[in-house]
Amino acid sequence: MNKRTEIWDVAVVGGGHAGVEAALVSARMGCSTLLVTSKISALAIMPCNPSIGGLAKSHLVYELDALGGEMGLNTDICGIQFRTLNVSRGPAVWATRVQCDKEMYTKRMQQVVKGQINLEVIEDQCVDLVVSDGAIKGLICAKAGQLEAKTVVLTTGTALRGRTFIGKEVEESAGDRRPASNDLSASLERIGFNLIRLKTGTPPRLHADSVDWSKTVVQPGEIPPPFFSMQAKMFHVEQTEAGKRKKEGKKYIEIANNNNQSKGDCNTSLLASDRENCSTWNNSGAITSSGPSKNAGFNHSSLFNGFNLSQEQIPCYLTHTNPKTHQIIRDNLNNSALYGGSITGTGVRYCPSIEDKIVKFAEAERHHVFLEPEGKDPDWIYPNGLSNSLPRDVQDEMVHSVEGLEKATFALYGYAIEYDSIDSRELRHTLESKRINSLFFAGQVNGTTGYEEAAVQGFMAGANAAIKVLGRKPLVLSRQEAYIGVLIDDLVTKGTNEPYRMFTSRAERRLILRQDNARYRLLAAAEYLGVSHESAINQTKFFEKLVTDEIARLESVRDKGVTLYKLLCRPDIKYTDLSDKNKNIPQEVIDQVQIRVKYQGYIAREKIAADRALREEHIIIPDWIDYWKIPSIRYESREKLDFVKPVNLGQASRITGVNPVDIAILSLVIKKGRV
Amino acid sequence: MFEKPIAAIATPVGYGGICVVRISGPNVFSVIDRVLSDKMDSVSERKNGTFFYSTIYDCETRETIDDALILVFHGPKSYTGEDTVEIQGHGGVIPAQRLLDAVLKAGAQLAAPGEFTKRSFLNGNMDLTQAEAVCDLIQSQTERAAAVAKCQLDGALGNKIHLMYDQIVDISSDLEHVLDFDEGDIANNFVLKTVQRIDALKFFIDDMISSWREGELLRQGVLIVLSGAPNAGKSSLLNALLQRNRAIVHNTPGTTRDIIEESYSLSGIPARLVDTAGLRDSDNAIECEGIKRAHALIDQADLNLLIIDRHEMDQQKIDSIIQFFNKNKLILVYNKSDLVQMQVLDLPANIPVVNISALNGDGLDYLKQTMKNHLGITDDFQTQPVIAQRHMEELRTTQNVLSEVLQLLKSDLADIVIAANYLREGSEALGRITGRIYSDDILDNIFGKFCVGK
Repeated sequence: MNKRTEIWDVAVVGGGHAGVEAALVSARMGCSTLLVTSKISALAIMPCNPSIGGLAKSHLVYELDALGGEMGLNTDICGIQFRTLNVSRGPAVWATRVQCDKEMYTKRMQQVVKGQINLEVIEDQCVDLVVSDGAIKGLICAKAGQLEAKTVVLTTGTALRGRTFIGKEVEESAGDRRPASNDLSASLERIGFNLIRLKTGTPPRLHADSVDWSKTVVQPGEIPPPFFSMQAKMFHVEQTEAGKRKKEGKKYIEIANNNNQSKGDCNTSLLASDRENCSTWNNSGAITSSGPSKNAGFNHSSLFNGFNLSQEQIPCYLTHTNPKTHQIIRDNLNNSALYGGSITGTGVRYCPSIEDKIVKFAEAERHHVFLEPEGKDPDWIYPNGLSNSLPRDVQDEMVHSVEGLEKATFALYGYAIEYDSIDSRELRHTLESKRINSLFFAGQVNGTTGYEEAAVQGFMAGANAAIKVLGRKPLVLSRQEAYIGVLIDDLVTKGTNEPYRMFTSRAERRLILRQDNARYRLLAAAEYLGVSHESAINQTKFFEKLVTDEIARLESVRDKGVTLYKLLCRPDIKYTDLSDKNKNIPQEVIDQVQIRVKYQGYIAREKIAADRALREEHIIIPDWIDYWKIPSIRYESREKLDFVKPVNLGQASRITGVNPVDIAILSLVIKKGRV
Repeated sequence: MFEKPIAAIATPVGYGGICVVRISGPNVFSVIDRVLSDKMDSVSERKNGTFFYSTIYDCETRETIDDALILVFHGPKSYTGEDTVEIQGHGGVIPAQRLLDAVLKAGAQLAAPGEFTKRSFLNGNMDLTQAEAVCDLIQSQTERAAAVAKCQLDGALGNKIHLMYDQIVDISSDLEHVLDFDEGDIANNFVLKTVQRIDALKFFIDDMISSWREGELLRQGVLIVLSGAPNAGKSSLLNALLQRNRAIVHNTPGTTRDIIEESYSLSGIPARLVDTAGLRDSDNAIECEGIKRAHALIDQADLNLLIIDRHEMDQQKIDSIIQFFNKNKLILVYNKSDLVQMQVLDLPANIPVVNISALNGDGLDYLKQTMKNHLGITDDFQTQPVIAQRHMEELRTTQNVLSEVLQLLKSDLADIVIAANYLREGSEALGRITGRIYSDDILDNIFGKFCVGK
């Protein structure tokens, strides 16, 4: 454990998915980091769905893993069922979804946090912020008193004036029996933040022994399991390839070794994990050898918990809603705490609750309900697909109308939670507040919903806080680079008045923002931060070269006069159908080659469209612009522009309520170079 | 641009009863105050839509420039949507320029071509198709072209496109919504329904595109070339169509040596009617040049009328002459039907044949009808054809992406992101027609074609 620093480089308030990532990345970048949480035993808990990933969220996790975040690895280790969604719809929307052992998830994360050098965790409640000269100076905690910090990351989740609603009972709580925080809300308001109230909800939990399993269909996990993390993939390849290699004469290792001979310091296989060099796989001895900025200390002797994922995944069970269920919901839409309104075509994007699905797809006679275990040997079942915010008696009636759940008993009713969040348009793209220097915000406090959305913001806020302390150039990912970029740009440009969830449809460059290529497209950013595993980075570079070489080979080799590249472009031809295959490249490389070749034309086309739309991104709005001195811009637009302070013309044009003529005027003022 | 008002002479250069100088934009009233008498109340005090009479002065020397009527418009109830003033002074090149100079000196800046209309578009007073119609209306050559432009200015085309835009955005957002759900969560018939909706939209777009031919004729006009052997009666036919004696008619073969071109309206479609030298072998250098030009025109023509003198023509002659023509753009006109009996000639199929007498006008109406049919000109003045190349290109883009989407959605491996991307492209293309989506280039291109002052 670190010795106590006088002034913390980075202080993180909140130990949810955002707080944990923020604290870990900052500590791994070498900054002395403090994590303040109300309950250490609740670090990174999963108060809602016991799963990570899903559509678009999966992309966030892969991106986070590529940058060096912890969520992907933690999920892989604690996963009990792995699946790929959307298989029939093309690689851009393939998504991984992993059921986790809920208990294990938080326990393993606690161990990682406790073992992380440069990181100290205290169980306390932050009640106030210390601000002077428009910059944050530290925190005041209920027990520890005043703590000084150069930067502060607030990841308060649902804690700020949290209130849960079950039926008509209202309770002051951050959910899952954690305390609400009223003082911090007051503190933020004193500083001048405008707080808004947001609501979110969670479905009921059912007792496992009250479900009639005979009426459901078993949904087994996918084998081999699709992992999120590069490390788990390497470990898994090592395991499954071990036997193969003995027979095949260590081909992979030879390729890898040849490629890396010159590096000297990394002469082991890039395909399998490098146990000696990876601190993650090590016991305490690794801390000194891998340097202070690496993550360290977790004992992986029981990686995957002694679980053989190829054989022992825990199945989910599938049942369906029916017209009766739908009628019950339709009759009670007005009583839905979260739904309340009606969908009017475009724009309304609720977390796909059962209410939403029933309105949007009115003709559908049934919807899937996955009964998901909350652990390896669960008492509770999470009925995924029945996410709702209906009153207690309606929940009873609705759940009992579903086949297999006729006699289900409730361990927990679905509830709604209401909490304070800031107006995320007050933030810069680094997630630093424009109002108070060195104060960062991440997660639900910014108006988002979801573990994955929280984790990536936590990581980016923590990384940028550390970067600020270290005096380096901020790391901002653009909308064209990552879903993380889309998420943050949306938050700081548009803000949100309902919990923001990541969706595929929010991205412009979704053919290139795939989960399969996250590690390749974010390689430069990962190297800049330097918190990823060296072996993973090296493997990415190595694979990238294999992919490029193989594509070049396909362009030069012909089959009956047609290049293999052209053949592979055809929709009905797979890599395995080619007459001249490269048998010495691993499956991941083959997959990359195949997807890149098949998508090439479409990606180019998408780029043209996106470039046209994003041309205004390149027109930077200079600092001297004073919107109040441009009378020809409408008053309401001036207000909005002045509040958001967009960095470029593209961002300005995305602000809700700023119209084209305002942008045209602004563009002219910029071109002229003066107001 | 937006803190100084813009000003320009809105009437044509030359002599006239009055000239109009139009000034629009912020501070326009204070600029006008400077060229009026100090004793007058500010123009800003005057009501929208009123006018008054005043002397106009040079704002510095206080020299009298002109006496004028001044019309006051308060934004957004003006052409541009901004505060606007129109000064009606005495017509003529010099008085108009003096008036404009006085206004510029008082703080206005010279407007770029089409800038008033561009502002009107940017301020949301009209969509891009309407703005383009302003230009078309000014430049229209026939009454029908003017009627179509006016119709477009009233929003007929814009409304149609807006409707399609709304539809494609609707389908697109539904497909995007599908992207946000797992495949198992979506009703199976959703894709089928989407296919049906796209089919319906595509039908609508196909229909608009089919109006392009006529629209193009309306915008660009048609070239109709009269040709034939010497003395077949080409010039007589030209005169008959024009209903006046334009060309010299004489029974000496080879009378017409140069090209004679006249404007002609074919059911409101502007046409260039060209009479050429008779096609024959000649030793005369001037006549040879005329024949050479005739051949060049025959190649360019949208429609060729090959005039044949029935009693001069036999199978061999017709075979030798018909080879010069594109058979798809040809009508055979048998002239002098009043003089001889019909004789049967062997002709390639599908070439329309019309018997006329240029002399007494027999068969002329039937000829006109045949020409219209051949060119695809209708007498339908009600529908709004697509006339601009720009609109056509965007419609074709939309048509293509919709075909791609349909093909994708009907296949087994429906890559839904690619389908959604295509729909985005389609909605952007339609959006660009009306200007819901625009860039500086599009605007410069469109408004650059305008005259200054509009």
